[in-house]
Amino acid sequence: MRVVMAGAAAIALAASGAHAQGNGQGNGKGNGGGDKPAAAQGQQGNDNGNGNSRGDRGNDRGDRGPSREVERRVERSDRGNRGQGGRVDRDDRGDRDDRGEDRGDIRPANTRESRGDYGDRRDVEIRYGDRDDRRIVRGDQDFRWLVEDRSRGVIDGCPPGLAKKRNGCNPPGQVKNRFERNLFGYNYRPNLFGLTNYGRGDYYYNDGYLVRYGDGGAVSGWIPLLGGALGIGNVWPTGYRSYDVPDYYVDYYNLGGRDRYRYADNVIYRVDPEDAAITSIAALITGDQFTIGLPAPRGYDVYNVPYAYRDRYYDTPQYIYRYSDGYVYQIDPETRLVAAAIDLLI
Amino acid sequence: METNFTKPFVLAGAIAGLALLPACNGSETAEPTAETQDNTTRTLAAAMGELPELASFNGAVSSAQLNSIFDGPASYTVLAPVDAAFSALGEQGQALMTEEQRPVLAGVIREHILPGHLTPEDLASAIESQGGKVTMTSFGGGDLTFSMDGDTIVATSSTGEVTRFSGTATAATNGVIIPVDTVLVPGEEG
Repeated sequence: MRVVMAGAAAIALAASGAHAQGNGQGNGKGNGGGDKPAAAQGQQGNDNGNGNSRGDRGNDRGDRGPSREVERRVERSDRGNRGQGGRVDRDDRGDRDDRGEDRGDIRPANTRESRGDYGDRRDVEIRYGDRDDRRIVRGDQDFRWLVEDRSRGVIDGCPPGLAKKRNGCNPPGQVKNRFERNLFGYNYRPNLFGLTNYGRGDYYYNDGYLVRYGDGGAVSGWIPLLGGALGIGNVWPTGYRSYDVPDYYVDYYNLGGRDRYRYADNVIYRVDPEDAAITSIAALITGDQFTIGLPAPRGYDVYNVPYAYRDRYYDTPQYIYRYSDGYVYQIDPETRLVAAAIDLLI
Repeated sequence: METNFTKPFVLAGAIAGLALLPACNGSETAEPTAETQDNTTRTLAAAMGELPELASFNGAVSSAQLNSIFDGPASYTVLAPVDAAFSALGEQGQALMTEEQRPVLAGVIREHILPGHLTPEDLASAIESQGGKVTMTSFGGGDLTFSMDGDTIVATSSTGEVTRFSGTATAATNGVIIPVDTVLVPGEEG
């Protein structure tokens, strides 16, 4: 009986469009929460004309809903083992040649068998079998680019732009004061420039760089600034580490090849592959890490799903949806745990 | 569906009308809750260029070399200070537009950009359902806290600077433009 009711509810969801939210709520409660994604997935099927698969999903949810939570726990406890079969190319992300192969790995269709090498709590896949929505990613996220970016520090020495100038990195002497305070009257600090990866300290602004002075009075460290040393036309500063973004983001932001972009301090730049001159700003990144199975980062109190996906992913009592850096994330509103990432490229 | 040809005039009329009627805040349909205008055949960059009160902000975005992100695939919500807000900065505003200050300008603009597609309607709804205050993190890295002041949505930066929604928001294909009445300049760090 429960199966029949769930199936009927799924069909109703599929047919109801704007009314799906209300139906989804009732359905979810009636089935012990096993059909939480019903509203969203029902609409996905609708949007893509996959009426048959939607019906299957509806029945499947009704059938399996009550056991879903059990299954989730099993998946979690089994994570370590699943990790053993992992691909090795994720450990070799520094090697540009594996990008093409790796790209498929972030897609949900391929993640099922290959999401091994993150043997931690990110891997909380709920198995729906082949009936699962291909857009829903429940494991295998590559955060290396964000982690590496966050761990950066002030670059030692004199920045390349100032080094070219006479006295550029020498003690500033009387002009030092000019570099001390911004036009609003406050001391320069990294977060004035959207820089969140650096510690506090005495910073000065000099010709497109945020710099620090050493004991001898000369520039001892530097950070290039968006709009300054990282302005359009300037060559990417040697020493300022760029990190590879996962292939999903290469596609999402239309970055082209690896030699055509740079990523640092939450900004993606397009560069000329010949001389690494910056040609434009491709994207600003929040750098916020939405890890499946962990609480969502703070600062996402309001529904912000992009326009093209708002009919499909809208907040319900079962799940809320938030957008960040190219993914929509499905979040449990009570626990704030991230349940899934939704691939916006499929 | 309106055509693109008519939209600038409709928007201009709506905004001009709102500017003339600031005293009507008490009504149910006062400016802060005016329905977001749909311009979802245009990108943010294009839609912003059509809004007459945002000429200074458009200039600032171009000067900071950030306009390309608003033509891209990612969605952003922009709290766009109206021209009067830039005028109110006086000499500071002029200095901000110089090449030397471009990184500072870029930092200021980043504080006005939020991830995704945030409509004033969604903000108002969230404020109401979440106890009067909600927070979103900006691309400047700071928190923006939103609350209601009467019928007007107010955003407060992490250093206590305040800006108020002013006029009609515009939804573009890759984000939302929300006019605000004050430039959020960086304050002294607490």
